[in-house]
Amino acid sequence: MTVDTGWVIAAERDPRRARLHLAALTGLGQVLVVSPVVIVEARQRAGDVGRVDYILARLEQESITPEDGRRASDLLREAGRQSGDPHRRVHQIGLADTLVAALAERLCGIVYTGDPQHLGWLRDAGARITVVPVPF
Amino acid sequence: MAIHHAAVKKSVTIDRDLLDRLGIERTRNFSATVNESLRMLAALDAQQALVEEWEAEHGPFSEEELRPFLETVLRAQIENTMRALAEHRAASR
Repeated sequence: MTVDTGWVIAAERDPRRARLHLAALTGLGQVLVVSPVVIVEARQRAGDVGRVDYILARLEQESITPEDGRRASDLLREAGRQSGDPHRRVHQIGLADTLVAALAERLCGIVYTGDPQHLGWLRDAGARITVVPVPF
Repeated sequence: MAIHHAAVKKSVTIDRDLLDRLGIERTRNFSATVNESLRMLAALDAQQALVEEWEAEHGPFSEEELRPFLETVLRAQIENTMRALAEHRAASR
């Protein structure tokens, strides 16, 4: 399972429910994965970097590959093309969520997100992902 | 430049019947299979540690608290599996 920055920020704000989510995932044998772009964004947006670092250090981390970059580029381009205002849509989605979608597609397909709209646009653009709102 | 992790050689004993049940792709690069499996176990251990540390400090989670999260995770898994099946079928038409 991949997470976007929204999951990490939600975990910082509500650590108890984040642990409940982790307990459920672990009990069902599922692993959360964070990417470098999520680490950058989460540390940037965190109210308390130490709390975010504490969680990030214990989650599985996965690199972004050049293939992920190419896939993200295709998805972003298509998502822009599907909207009335491609330039605006591309900026709304942003690089980080697009790379998260590409990584999720390469892993199991599920992405827990604090912003289902952005990931939904990428799914509609062809990303083979299942978009799940952060459940806390 | 690729990132290389330090590797160590370990001698392990594996049940013969377990080895025989593995698919050919898993035995072709057995080190990769072992690493992948251990990586998964290590990730699960790390997640479990986050939960246990919290529970040690704040008390254990109740079944009522945990149930909706289990339901969310299961629903996501079902939805994802159905999506993948639909895509597979569409691709093979």
